[in-house]
Amino acid sequence: MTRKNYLLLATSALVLNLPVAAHADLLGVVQSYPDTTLNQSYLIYDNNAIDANTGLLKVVAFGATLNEGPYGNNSTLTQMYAGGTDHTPDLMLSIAIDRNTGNWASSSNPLANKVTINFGNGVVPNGNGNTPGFKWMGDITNFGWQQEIASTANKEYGTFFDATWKMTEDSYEDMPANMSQFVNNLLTTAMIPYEGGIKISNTTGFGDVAHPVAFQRDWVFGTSATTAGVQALLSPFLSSLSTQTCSQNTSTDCITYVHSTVNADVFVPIPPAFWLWVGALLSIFPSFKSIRLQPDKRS
Amino acid sequence: MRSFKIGLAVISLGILQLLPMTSQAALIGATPTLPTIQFGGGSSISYDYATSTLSLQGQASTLFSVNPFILSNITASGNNFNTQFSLNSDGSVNSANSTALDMTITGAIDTDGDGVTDYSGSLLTGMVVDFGFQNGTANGDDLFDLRLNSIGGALAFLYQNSDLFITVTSEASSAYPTPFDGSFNSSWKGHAKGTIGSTVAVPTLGNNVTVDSPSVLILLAGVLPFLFGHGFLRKNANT
Repeated sequence: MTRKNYLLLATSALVLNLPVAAHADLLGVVQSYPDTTLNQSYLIYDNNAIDANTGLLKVVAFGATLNEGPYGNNSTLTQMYAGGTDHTPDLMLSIAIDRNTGNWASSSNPLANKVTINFGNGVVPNGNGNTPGFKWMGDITNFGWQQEIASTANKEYGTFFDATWKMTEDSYEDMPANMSQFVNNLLTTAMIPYEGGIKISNTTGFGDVAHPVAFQRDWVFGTSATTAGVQALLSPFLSSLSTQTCSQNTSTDCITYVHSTVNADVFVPIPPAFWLWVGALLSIFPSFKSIRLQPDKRS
Repeated sequence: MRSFKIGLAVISLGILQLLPMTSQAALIGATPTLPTIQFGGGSSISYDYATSTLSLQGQASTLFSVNPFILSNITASGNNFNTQFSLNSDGSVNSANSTALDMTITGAIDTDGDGVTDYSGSLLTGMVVDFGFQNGTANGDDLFDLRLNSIGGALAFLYQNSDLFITVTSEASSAYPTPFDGSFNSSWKGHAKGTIGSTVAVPTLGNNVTVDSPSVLILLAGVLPFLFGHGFLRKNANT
């Protein structure tokens, strides 16, 4: 073999080793407290929700539990987002993703890269009505996902996701007198130096669908997500998804519903000095069913 | 005679498979179905090496069902979800486990949303029959799963003719410096969040001994050729 052929062979090997698309590893976010667990969560991915190159990963949940700390005597506060005749979960997280690489995408779309957590009755501007509650909002600042682990026979791709976020707004409505120090954007200002975390686990993952094809099709993951009953509850979030069922692992622009266990939590980057409020809230909001905000009033 | 020996060998294999199936050096791998109960980020999973006891405890928060639609908060003070059971050194469930209830969920719940408590006290109980684990899959996050049967408690009617299945994610956490490292040779403790739900019931042979379908098939595969083969030999001997 001539020197030229060796060079050609080496060049070919290099080309073959070039990644088809960049991999977005997990960020390595470490769980901390206070921690908000999203209860009965569903993971919905719309591969072209924002534009032809940008998809949107949404986590919707039927409830949330705020945990002050890791011990049994720490306070918790559980909020349900549906009940009575309202059977629709709340949109808690929305993360923009480059469908060609799976990388997190910065986006100016107002629906993208948002964290929204409501407790109590959220913030319902209703004049003299006494509907105590608060809302925290933030922006997703980065996102990563679990790659396939070559040394195992398991399918890890799509089983774990993590993200970082920054609080951008905290609002309060009808807070009780002993918590009058909580005024709008108090925490947002205090938490400028801090960044929060998000961890999502999804037991089934993308299975045999390879990267980056998995980000070029639509997915709905969650407990009994394959059933008509669950899909009916999620219907407000499914209308923009593909109606074509994926028939092969290489298919794109189609949809797959997967029965999976999705667990998600959001760590609220509250400085320790502010933690005392959690116990106080517990005595005020033992358990609430939220008043659903009209979509056009969400901000 | 040859078919007799082969049959005997396969039966032996089947019997070996029927021996306690409680050892899982990997996840069991089922996915719980509705109705589900969530436990959140204030929960923990720990192992006490001195007593060989695994504990999963925290606050069970919401019950969720689609048909009928139920989304209800379980109210309780402190930890209302406690699971404790004994392990062998390889992480398999100790089949000599005590007969005391392994899992209990207590509290009060209003399932129809009319503001009146419908069930209170012991809401759900069960016995652990299988346990699986997977160490450090994602940046130090560990996974565990459990199968339970002998379901009791006020909400047991929601899980008739099924087993309970629990999936646990134990995230790498700043609050837990000594999490699971893949072994049961020392004590450890980690964060826990997860889901309790329903799964297809697996037959049992007794206390904490499950029978999985492949074992039964292997046994049948062993018995049938033996019976037919033996009958064939007898028939030939008579002619």
